[in-house]
Amino acid sequence: MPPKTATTIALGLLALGCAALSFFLGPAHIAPASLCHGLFSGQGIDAVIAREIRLPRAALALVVGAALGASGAALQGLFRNPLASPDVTGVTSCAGLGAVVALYFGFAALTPALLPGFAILGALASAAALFVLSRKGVGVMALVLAGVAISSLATALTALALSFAANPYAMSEMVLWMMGSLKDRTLSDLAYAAPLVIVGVALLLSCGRGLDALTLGEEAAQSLGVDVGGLRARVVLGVAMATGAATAAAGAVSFVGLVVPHLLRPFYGHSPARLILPSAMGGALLVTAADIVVRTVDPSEQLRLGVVTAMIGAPFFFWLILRLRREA
Amino acid sequence: MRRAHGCVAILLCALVFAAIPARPAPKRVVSTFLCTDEYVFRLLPRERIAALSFEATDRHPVVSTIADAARGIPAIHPSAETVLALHPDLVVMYRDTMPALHGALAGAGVSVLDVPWANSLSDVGRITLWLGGKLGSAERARNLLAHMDNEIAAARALAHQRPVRTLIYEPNGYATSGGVTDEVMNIADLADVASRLRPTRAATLPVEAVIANAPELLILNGEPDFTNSRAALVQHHPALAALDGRSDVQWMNLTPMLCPGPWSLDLAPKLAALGKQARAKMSR
Repeated sequence: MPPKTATTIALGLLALGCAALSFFLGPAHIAPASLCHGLFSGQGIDAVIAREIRLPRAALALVVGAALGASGAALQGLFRNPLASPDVTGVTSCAGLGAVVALYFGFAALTPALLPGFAILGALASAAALFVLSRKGVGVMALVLAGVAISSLATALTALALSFAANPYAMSEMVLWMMGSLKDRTLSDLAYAAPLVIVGVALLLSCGRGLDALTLGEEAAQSLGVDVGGLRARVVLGVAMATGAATAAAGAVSFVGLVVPHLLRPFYGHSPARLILPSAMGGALLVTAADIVVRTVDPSEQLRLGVVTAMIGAPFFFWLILRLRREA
Repeated sequence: MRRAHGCVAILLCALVFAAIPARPAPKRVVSTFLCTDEYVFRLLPRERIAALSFEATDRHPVVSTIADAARGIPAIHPSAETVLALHPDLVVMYRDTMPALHGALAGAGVSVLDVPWANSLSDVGRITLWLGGKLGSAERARNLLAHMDNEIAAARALAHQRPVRTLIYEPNGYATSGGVTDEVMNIADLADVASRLRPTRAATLPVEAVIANAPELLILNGEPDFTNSRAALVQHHPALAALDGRSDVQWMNLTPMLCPGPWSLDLAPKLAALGKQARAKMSR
């Protein structure tokens, strides 16, 4: 077996192992054997806790992490920019804005599909704006600054929307949408997020070869037969679907899409095609591990998922900027 | 002889105090906080209320028990400017709220009355009488307490069996316990189990803990149709269906508990009725 494939499988197994550990963690202190029995038999309270509470949480951590990891790798390939990721480019914030509008103004109550639907629309809007900017040939730092501007605007609009929402808890929930959480998620959250993330990540995986060609430049890619416009549209759509659905379910979990591809590049090289699937696995591993840390360090869960990922990601982001500066 | 001197001194003091004109009852009262709005509205006639806080009549969402009754009374978002513009002769504030506003009003020479938080029903009685006296509405204060006593009696008439193990579960998973809420529940023969379920330091309980420790009566505080937030979705978690047959799950709007006061006892007979219903269901 090639070492890269073995590494990818190991990442996937580690992520599944973390998910299993996450499944066994909870305030009810149920023995692992009872939980497993409940999961498969469907009998008793243990079954309800296993199926309706623990399973959705563990599975959503995998799904959210995979979405963000794959999106980060694809965006870095598309923009040929090592600083690109769903959160740095404002895609996550705009998805959060869409979800907030859907949830707090009653659209999600009409049909649950509108929650991820609005989040995907928000993600599409920001990804499209960045896409237009990148076509105009703006540099690496300008693209990051544009992402910061989009992200700040989306955060401000989210706060504005929550201020006008007829909901006494709206302002306190700002923290959730800005920091992310998987607490008390349900199977229905998993039911809408998982298929959209799977389709989104599959779309990104299908773009791998095109993104590889794009690393040589647009003209070279076109000469190799790549439809660059179509490729960009598919990447933008894939990122919007995966990140939008993940954010609608968990809020903004930051820095996963930025950190994971960089950590894996030493093992897989700079080819986006090789990096997207491992980044999905690595993202799943990181988010699942972070969710375990959240519950172990602070069982009251006042500590949010995004806080843990940001503690890892923000210093990494600084280091990356310094490194890029040195290289320039 | 000494006794005679003492009597003369007391008589003189009484004459001196009688000669000092009693402070006139305030005519333009502003309340700056939801929980003082509840008191001021009940203790004063409308014409003596210059303004209440916006929360008193807010409908998005309704957080006060006087949202309908207080319509027409000016509502303000309290700031030094909005309060001073009303030329109040007394501003009623909740203790330790809005320190900047408190300082600004004191600096402008406006009388401010700080109402303390009630941690028990005896606090409620004491604060009601004290505030009624300060507002020149002692009679209304006594009436409020008489109404409270009636509600307690009505609840006790309904509640006469063993306490029902009850959990009040709120949006965001908050589990209400302690203070006036517990006393009202006790009057209704409901035993608050929140503290026994070991809530987090943020006073929340995960859905998992609620299911694993099924109370006899689970009261979901709020409106069943309201699902427009993550906070409210916790109360609609599908796993709560596992309580079927183990708990009586009921929705109830507990707005009167938000600010502890005589009005909080309006819920006591309703809670006692819920307890009775739960007891009947669980004994089947």
